[in-house]
Amino acid sequence: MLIELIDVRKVFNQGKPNEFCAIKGITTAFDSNRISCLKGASGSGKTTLMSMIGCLSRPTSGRIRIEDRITSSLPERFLTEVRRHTFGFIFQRFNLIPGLSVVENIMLPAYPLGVKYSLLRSRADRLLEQFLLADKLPSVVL
Amino acid sequence: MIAMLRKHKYFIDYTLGIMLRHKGKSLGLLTVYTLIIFLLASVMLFSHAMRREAVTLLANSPEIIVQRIQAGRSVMLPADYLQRIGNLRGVTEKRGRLWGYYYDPAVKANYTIMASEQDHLSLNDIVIGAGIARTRGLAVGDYLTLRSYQGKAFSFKVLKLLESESELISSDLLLINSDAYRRLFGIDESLYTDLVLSVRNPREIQKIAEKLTLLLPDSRPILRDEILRTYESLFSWRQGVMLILLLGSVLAFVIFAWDKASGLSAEERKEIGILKAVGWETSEVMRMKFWEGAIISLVAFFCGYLAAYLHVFYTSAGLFEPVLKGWSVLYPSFQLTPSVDGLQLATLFFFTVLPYTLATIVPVWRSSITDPDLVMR
Repeated sequence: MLIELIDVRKVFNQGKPNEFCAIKGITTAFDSNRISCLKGASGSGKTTLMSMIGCLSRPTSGRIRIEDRITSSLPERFLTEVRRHTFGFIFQRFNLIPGLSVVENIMLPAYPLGVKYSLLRSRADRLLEQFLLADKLPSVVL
Repeated sequence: MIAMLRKHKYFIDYTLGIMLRHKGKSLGLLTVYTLIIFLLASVMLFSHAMRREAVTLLANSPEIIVQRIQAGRSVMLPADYLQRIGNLRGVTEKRGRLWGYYYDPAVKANYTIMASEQDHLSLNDIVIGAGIARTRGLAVGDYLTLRSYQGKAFSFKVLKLLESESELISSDLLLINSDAYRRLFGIDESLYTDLVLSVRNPREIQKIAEKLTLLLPDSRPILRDEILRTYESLFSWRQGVMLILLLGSVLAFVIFAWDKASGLSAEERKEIGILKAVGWETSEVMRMKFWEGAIISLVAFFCGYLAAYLHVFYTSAGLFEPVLKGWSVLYPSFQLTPSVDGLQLATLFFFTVLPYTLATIVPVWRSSITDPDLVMR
């Protein structure tokens, strides 16, 4: 299995009067080379589950395994590694940095790698062309 | 190494982009910060330069001054005290001085008046300080009339003006012939205001002062080092007064900066979440935010210090003149010798740049160790 979840729970505001359990003990698995789809009513916990799989948040209990690593108990610095190299996360909302141009927003994830600017730029240009967004290149995100 | 430098360049570029996005906020903070540094640095630079000036000016002054004390007050001293001192070992020169103050009702100011043997002044000659020349509108060749103790007018011809390099202590100074001095104030030939002694070896000064106390029990030797210490205390005290006056504005800035730096806006928290979600490490987010704090505080520090330097050394500290400069009605006009005390510079840096930069990093650290999903919500 590529991704495996074992009895995963997610509780927000634990121990507070507004405590809310978003995921109540999910056990499931996703195979490689397949497109999987999560379906459910609004507020049923799809985004929360995706966030946990994508290492954007940790489960309150249970285990998440991606390939051969238990990501739910990985220290923060290893999680960054997973986020940087394993996932391409498309958010529900745009989540772009306002004030930066479109091309700068595309290059942003690669800044910490210290890659040569010309390489960064040419890769960003190629991606924009690939997704038919080349005309947006100089636009500033508002 | 190159990759690391490039990485930091990207962080700085990104930070500058963010600051440009919040132009008004960044400029406002930078202006207030620069102003605070300017005020603090001006007081520090001015006081340090004044102390240094005093040391330079007193470098050639006599090592010991002897004053006669009667009932705790300084009184005229008999000329035969010079003989009573005799030939003390280590004393290279000893002489009597005549000096005092003259109140000029025309400008309602006290001048320092002194008998001078060095300028070969005749009975009617006078040498005046630049401050007096300015206030009374006098030039070389003009006449200055002084009223004697009996009310009789004495006219003196201005022979020359004292050099501007020494205006700090000579602005309100009048030099006249010793006979003219005695006639003007009705002082007997056998009296002096005080005695001055030059000592070759600085290690012997204290010992000679002790001997003088034994030889002339009614007198008090004043050492040059004591005068320097007095200047030191005087300017430190004035600096302290100014810093206390500025404390209010410094505190206001601290509250303002703390409020700005410690509380992240929802937009800033979301930005940190996005950066972490796209693969930035906590340390990388903090480094980027460090640059934001460092750029603002370093630019403010540099601009504020530079402005203070120009203010103190090129405009004679016009803002603080009444508090820090002189004690007379005639303010001396002079330019201080530019000098920077490394320790003072480091202290100012330590108490301004470091706290601000740290105050910026702490809330960022708190946000960046939280799950990205949570800070983005």
